[in-house]
Amino acid sequence: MYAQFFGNYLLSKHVVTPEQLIQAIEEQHIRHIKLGLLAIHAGLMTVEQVDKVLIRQAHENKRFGELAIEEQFLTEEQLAGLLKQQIPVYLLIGERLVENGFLSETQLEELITSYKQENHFKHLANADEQQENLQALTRSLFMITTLHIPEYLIKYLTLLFNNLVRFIGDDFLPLNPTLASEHVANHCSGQIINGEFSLTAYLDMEEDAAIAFASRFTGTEYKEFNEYVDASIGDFLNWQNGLFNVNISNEESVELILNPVVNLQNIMLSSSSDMILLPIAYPFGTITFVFKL
Amino acid sequence: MRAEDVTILIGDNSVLARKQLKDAIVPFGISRILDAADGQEAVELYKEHVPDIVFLSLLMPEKDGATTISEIMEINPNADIIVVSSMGTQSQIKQTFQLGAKEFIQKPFHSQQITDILRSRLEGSV
Repeated sequence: MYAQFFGNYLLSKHVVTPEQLIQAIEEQHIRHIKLGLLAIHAGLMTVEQVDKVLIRQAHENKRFGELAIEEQFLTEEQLAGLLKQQIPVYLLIGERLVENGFLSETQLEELITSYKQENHFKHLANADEQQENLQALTRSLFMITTLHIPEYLIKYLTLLFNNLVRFIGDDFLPLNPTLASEHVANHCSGQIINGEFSLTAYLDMEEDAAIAFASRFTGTEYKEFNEYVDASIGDFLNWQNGLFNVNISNEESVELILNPVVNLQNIMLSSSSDMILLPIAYPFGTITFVFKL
Repeated sequence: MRAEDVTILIGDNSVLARKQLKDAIVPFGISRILDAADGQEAVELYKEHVPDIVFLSLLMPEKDGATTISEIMEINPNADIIVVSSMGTQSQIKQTFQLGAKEFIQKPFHSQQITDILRSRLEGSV
């Protein structure tokens, strides 16, 4: 779970640059992942067994799966399971980074292992624990900034990541947040939340990303930018903010007020205090959340 | 109520939300659908057409949802208002019912929720 944060983990370890990571995200659907890597991560084969099959494959004109069965490393059923399983996003991204020469295969293996260990992936017994883990991952995103991040923003973002999975797709990676006093927005919607605390959230993206975002959000294939594409940005933000409002009210008895969503195009967002910019990379492009606290 | 005699008003500032509501309504054979992009427009359209059913968002520019409900209820105390909104805390839901709304649907809604409501109205079982 939350393999989405693996990309950010790579950034925090300074093993890849944001540009290399974005390239990998955009390319993740290009090529199929190597079966050996999948078998290792499913716990079905060891690194040594995969190596052995790969060496044989170099001499014999046979498929990886065929040889793995011959060697009795995999059963027919296990192979079939591997071939139809959904591939975790960190493997897709990782494999692209290896293919592009930014990481070695061994480095990738080590990074995946340490990422899993550091985030206690194996011990997440129930949904509550998973949400706590997601909150911790969200907090870790902001370790690079000097800004004090209020607890409500962590809750907001934890819900946001869940909603991205729910309404857009789980193939995203949050990039490093930055602080800025200005941001030039393309196709953008904003909504003010006030009450016990105030938060203005914007969602901004370029035209092509907006078309793909709206297609996923509505389940309708849009070919060009139109009023429905435009409204999708605002509606996603409104759903997110509405659900946040309900959660905060239920959990903490805090009643907040939502204001109508405002659609903005080609506008400069600015603030006297720093705004938080959180870019989220999808294969179709990067969408950026901007927060004024 | 027969579908062909029914008039529905949709008040929501999102053109996408209005389209999604219409998509759920049209299969019933209801063709008289009015739409308003803000609260003021919704009240004016209500006054002019007195629709049978109103789907209303609470978050609208010009006139907020609560005021819009109140003004529609003044025009017609029996107005059938169904709130479809992203704002769904207990106190907000309570307030909309106190103002006179008949149902509350939290966004994101499923078209089935709209279908259920229309079915109950068209069969006259509510």
